[in-house]
Amino acid sequence: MDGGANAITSKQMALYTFVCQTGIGSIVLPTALAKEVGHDGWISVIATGVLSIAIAALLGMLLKKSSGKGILDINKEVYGKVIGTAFNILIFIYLLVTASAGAGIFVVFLRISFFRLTPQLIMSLIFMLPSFYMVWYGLKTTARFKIFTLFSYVVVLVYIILIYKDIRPTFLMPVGEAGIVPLLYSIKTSYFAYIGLELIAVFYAEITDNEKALRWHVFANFFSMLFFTIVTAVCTAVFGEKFLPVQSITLFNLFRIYNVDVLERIDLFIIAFWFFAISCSIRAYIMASWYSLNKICKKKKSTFIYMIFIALLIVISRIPGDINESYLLLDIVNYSGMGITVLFIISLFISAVKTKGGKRYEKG
Amino acid sequence: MKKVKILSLCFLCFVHLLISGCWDQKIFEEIGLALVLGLEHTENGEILYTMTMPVFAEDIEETMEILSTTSDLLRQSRDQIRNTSGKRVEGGKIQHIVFSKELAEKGIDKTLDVFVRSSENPFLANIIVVDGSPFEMLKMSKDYKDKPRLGVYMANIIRHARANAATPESRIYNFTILQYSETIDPVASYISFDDTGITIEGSALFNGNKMAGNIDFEKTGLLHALMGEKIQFGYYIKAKDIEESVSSDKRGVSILLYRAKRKIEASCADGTAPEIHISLDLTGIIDEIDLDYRLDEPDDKKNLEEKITMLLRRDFMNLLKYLQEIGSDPVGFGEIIRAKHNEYFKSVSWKTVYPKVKFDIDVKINIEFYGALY
Repeated sequence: MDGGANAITSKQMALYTFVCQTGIGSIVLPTALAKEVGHDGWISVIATGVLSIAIAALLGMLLKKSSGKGILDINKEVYGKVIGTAFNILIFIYLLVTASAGAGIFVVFLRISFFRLTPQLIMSLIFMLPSFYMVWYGLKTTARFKIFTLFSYVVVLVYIILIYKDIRPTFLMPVGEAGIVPLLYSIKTSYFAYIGLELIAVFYAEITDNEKALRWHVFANFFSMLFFTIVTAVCTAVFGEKFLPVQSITLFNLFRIYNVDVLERIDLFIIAFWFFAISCSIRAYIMASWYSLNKICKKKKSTFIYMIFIALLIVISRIPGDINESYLLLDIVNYSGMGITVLFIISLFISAVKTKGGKRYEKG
Repeated sequence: MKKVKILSLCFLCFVHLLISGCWDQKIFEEIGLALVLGLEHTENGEILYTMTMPVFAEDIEETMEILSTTSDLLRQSRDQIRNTSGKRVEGGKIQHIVFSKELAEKGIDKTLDVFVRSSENPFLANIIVVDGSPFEMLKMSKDYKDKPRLGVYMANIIRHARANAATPESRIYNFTILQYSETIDPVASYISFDDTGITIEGSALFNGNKMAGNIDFEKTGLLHALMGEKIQFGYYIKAKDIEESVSSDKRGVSILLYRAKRKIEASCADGTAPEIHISLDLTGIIDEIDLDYRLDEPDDKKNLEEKITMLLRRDFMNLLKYLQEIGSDPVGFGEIIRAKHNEYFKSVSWKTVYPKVKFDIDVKINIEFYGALY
């Protein structure tokens, strides 16, 4: 791959992480948490946020010691060519399946909200075409495009201000009623939303000002936590803990409750804005998997391979037969994401120890 | 790189030329927009589904089409209606869902399911209960020659009534949220009709999903104050209620109440009914008065305020008593107890305890001004 086409700044990487985490996560998170901890979902989000910030900081610190290399190079250094490549293939599969699961759920959201009868394949192709186009041009293009999603976040936050009358603070009370054990148990559910923090390890070699990467990565996770907390608390305070668990697209339902003169309902407009964030979220993983594939193959990007890659992505995204299976695939991705993050940390830790040992040896 | 560009371009052309939209495309000229939906029970237990659709055709005199059918499911009814209307009927712009009082008393329950489940349906349609048959009302509305089209007419009177706190803001989403909450009972607009028009009567009060009673528009204003919502309503007192000795030609006083500050404190002890203390700080204006008070004299003004306070307190207590009698808790006392006295709430069945709650209300009224006359 062309280094110039992939070069990004720490700030762009932070935005990449933030959009990747919040695009899809915030749509289903309030419902998933209401099923487990009732109205205390926002506490779980904050607790998981603190944990994810700690993990992000750890990743950032370990990456800082890696002499500017990404996890795909580090794996080969740490485990040798064969095992390292095997791990890299595992990472590629994880990234590809995550992108496919995201694409699959995106189509499910589209079917629930707008297009009930349009075939999935047509929708997958049409709505992912911009992603395929941008990913081909590299990380820099996809990262730059994420700026546009900021408008989606502003729209959502303004909308939340507009519906203040429908927010019942008592729906969030009594605070902590779920108890410590269920809240701790719910961290695994909340963590799904924070998946995406590991992408920095994949792209680290492309960050031009990587001395600032740690700080910006922590900021990204902090803002994700803030956004998730606002969305979860507002959804709970509007719908209540008993109405939330029966919903499948909570955030979109929230967009249905504001009445505007003349236009009446504005949900379609706001959902359309939010599709920017969702598609960017999926695109982040498409980019990461394509980038990994090129790193593993060590070849110049080829149109033929890219077509196969796209076909594979769409085929995997169509494996779930219904909405429940799509959520199941997301669950699998969630657990895999936790495992991959642990693998990253172990690899980076071994690399850091080896580097330190090497330096000491050189010094000695 | 060029190949990808060319392929992408070809694909886009293919999409635009051959698909030209999507499978969910709806052409405006071919669809019929349902604006008002009436629901009631038939004698055999099915739901009679009546709807109005505006007619947009120069060669047809009528401006509104009324269609009805019976079935168990709303979707089934819509599909049956599609077979007779000649248009693809869509519910995405439904503005009002009118339940017959009889159906509301039996329970709305999951009737609104289709509106919540399908995102093409509006979450914002008004929930209305009519004293009588919605089918009759919609049919009669065709004769309202001096009124705008029914959907617009109803939207106008409901909007104005809400601005005057004469009827509650009840839409599908907040009605459903409250139904699910189980600690706040929903309310709906309550209307009646005759051959001259539709009248806002006040509020339909629910106990769970069943309509349990109704109150007039003046009491709806008081209910809004108890609910801590924005108010702006007229409170009317007969001269005899202010002073028994007043001469019979005196008419009374009208006050516009336009601000309410509410505070609710609850105390719960095991084994006893909760005690709830409500403080209401009201602000108003004297709109009309036919009594011998010099309102520019502080003593006279204070004297009148005290009498109004006493009558307001009496009316609030009567309203609370009525709500307890019918088991309806639209104010959300149950929600306050659940949130602030959760241990107690879990130890009792709120619906059983609610009628026994001891209420105490402290009302204060401040008459800010009294117009251009003393």
